[in-house]
Amino acid sequence: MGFTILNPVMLFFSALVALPIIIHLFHRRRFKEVRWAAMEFLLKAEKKTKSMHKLRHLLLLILRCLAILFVVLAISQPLIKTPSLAGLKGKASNYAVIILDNSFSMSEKDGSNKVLFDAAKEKASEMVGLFEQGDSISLLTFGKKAKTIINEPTYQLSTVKKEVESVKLENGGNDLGGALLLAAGLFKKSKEVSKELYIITDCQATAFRDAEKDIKQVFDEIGGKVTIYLVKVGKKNPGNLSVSNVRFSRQLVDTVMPIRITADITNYGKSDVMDCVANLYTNEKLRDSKRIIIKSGRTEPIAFYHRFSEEGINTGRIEISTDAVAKDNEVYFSVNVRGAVPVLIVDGKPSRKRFESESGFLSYAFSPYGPEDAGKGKLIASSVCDYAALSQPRLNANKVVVLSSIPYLSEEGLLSLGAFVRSGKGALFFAGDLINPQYFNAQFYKEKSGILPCLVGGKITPKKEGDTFFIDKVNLEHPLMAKFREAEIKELKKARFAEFFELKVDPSDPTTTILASFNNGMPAIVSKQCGKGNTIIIATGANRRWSDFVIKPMFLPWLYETVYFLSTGTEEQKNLKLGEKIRKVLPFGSNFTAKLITPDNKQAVFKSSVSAEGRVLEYSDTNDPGFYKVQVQDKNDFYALNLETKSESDTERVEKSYIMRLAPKERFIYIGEEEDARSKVLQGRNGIGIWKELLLLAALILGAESYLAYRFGKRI
Amino acid sequence: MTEIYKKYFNPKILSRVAALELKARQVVAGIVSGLHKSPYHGISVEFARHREYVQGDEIRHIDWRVYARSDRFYIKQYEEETNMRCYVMLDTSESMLYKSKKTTKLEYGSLLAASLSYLLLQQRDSCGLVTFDDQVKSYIPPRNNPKHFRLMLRELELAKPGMKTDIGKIFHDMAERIKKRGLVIIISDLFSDIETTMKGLAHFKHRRHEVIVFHILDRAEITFPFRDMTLFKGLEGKGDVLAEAWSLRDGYLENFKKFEEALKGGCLGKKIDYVQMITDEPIDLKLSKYLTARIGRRK
Repeated sequence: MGFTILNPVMLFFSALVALPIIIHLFHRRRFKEVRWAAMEFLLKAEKKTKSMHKLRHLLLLILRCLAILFVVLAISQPLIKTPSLAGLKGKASNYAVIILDNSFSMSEKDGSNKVLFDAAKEKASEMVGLFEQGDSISLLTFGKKAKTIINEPTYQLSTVKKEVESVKLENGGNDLGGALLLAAGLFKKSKEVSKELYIITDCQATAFRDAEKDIKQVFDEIGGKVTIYLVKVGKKNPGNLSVSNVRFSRQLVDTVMPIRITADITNYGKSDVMDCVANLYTNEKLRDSKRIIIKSGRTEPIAFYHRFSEEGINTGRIEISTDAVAKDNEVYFSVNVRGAVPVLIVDGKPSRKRFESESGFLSYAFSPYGPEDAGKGKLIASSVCDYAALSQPRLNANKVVVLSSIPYLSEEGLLSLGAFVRSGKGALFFAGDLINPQYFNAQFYKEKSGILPCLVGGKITPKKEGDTFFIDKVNLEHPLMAKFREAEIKELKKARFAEFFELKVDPSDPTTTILASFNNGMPAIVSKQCGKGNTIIIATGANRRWSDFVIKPMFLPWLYETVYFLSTGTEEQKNLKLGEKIRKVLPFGSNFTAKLITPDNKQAVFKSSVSAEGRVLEYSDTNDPGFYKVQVQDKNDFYALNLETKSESDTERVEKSYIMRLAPKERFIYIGEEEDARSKVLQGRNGIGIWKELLLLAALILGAESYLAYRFGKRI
Repeated sequence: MTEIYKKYFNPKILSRVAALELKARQVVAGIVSGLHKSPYHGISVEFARHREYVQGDEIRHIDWRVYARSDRFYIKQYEEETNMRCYVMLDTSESMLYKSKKTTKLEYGSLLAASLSYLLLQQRDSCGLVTFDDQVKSYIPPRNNPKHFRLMLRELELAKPGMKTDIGKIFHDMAERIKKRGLVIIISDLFSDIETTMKGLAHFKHRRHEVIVFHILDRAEITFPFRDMTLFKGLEGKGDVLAEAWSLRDGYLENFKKFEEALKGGCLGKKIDYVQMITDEPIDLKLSKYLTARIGRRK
């Protein structure tokens, strides 16, 4: 058992012990004089009490001196060195691994508007300052992924400090487990006798709970051999609101109808937020504001209705009131706004009478108020053409082509249709009266390269006369079918089909999806992704002879949604999470140079490659939320990158007791946010601090002194 | 002289006590007829009261007229009255100079002595004054001449405080010196050995004097209100004490109480009136209260 003093300079203050004696002597010199008559009684009293009084005085004086002595000792920070700690440091050099939390939750601001990450870096620098020449340090961080900043132990303490300063806050999650595993590997390699691990973190609950298994494993491995210091920054859960998951009510965003834009607001705090203000901005203009009440721990959706006025790429964001963590108070979106969708109906057997041909039902569905209202603020502008007259210019003037009961197409028409679909447009097939499956398959279905989603087989009729088929199963995972609510799906299932063509789907083709099946289990609607576009086939024709579907209330919404789905094609994903790749495909033969501007207005470089689609440009260093602008010629395209807020926005901290439960029993020191980290580390290295006990003792002595002084004085 | 007169001739006090009288409770010898019982018979016969006859009484004293009316034997009692010789003894030792407020015990005692003297002279008693410390400083024999009062006042004014006091010795001296029995009024703080003091008082009683002790004290001497570090400089050269006053308080008060109880008990045992006078109390109130109580006891 040894004894060390951390602040020996403070021992000079032990001279203050003389203070009560000086005060006592000074006090004795200060008296008032009284000429007194009844001296006999006084002399007798003095004779009786003099020795007791002296004893009391002496006792009080000793107590006062002791109280001062203990306070001086306490501020000089004495340590008792236990046998297990003795000799640990000695003259051997130290090897330390510092793990610095740079996850997004560290962007929280405390009461004094200081960012936790800055406080963590200060602590890290302070810790580095406690090392001496000959000690070596490695530096790790844990943002979205654990990173090694200094892998090989460096003896240059100034370098470590510089590296600590240069570490930047990440906008990602929290890979504490990964960082601990890396640290364990570094300790395994190290041959130093004295090893220390510093974890500087905000103790975010989600991070610790996610990494609990790794924490236990690493602590079990290094516990007892490495002194672990967990340095906490940030006080209690300050509460945080986050906005995320922006979504649109339909796939096709147009200039005709307002669209519902919804985002989720989550309250991670312990108390309800009564007046959260959410603002919708599009193209940097405030469009709408709403107030919402969010109870503690709840996620509430907030919806705005907005009609975009400009066709093309529009940007927008939903912003909520600021709080301790500012970064998750905005969610960005980029949306391609389109005008009315031009649809070409190609009929195998056109007729002048409205409901005699399949195109009659379809064109009536697209223009329910008659041909005269076509194009006037409508979502869909349809036109009809004979299958024999189908040509490339006619096709290119449209975004979707509906092929109803086509017996065959010319070679030119076939090629034009393939190019049309692959360029990002859509085709909808109705298997009607005029289809010859063998010829139809030969023309439109080629294994994995044709535009027909599947092979068409023979006609299926009911076993008994008068029986009908109906749609029994719907694939709600497909974006098209997912648009419909339960009541609408029920309505869809009410349609009765007299007969249909068998659709033979290749289960090994990943581009093909069954959207709905009949009650006999055979596919009713099948979709396929072709290049940038999509095609869909429905197993029956679009007239009353095949089914009553065309006159059912659900026919119109289904047809519209199908056209919207086909018109959007498969665009590059414009709304991404941080860390996901920005991907832009340029057509072959284009010599355009693409420029990428990051949210902080810096130019970045694409990684370029070539694929079957064309020239593929990719950028994966998406670390900052916001808009990434891609300039191709004079055309701007925007990609919205958002934070993954699920875990990092939750500002709840783990309790000390939770950490201590995971911690090894020996050589683990928890340093709270308000504790003196330096003293704790020195205590960990040199022994157990007894200043609290000394201060307590001093307080007890002062209490006893006050009580005795009161007792002695009470006799007055 | 006028100033001295004004100082001691306090109209407020005197007007308050003038209506009262200080009568001797026991017979005293005097020259002229007065308020007090005489030890002599036959000089001045005055009917006092009737008393029922008991065996042994002289038959000549039976009031036959009462017998005729009531058929009972009553003795007629007569009293003789005389004036009183009164000695006011004022302690002028150094201890009487103590004051915690504006009045010293000596000043208070002097005023008391003057008031009592005036009262006695007013009721045509003879009054004398003795001032003393460790010896008799002045002695004015009792007279009932009004001019005598002025002489007494001058003596009170000229009284210089001495050093020590030896009350026992003084009392013995005075008891021997006063031949005829009378009233002895002692005005003193009596800070002296209690045993010798009590012996001195007993000597007066032995000489058949009536004794009244006015014990003059300062409030501070009773309560001992000191707390801080204090140097107590003893009057009458009794030494110094430097101490934190609070530490001595209990002991002092205990000792003082013992002294006070011994004094009161001793006086009670010897049928001596003991009157404690504190210098912050108004003399008139205290004196009239005592005199009223005394008259009550006499009846």
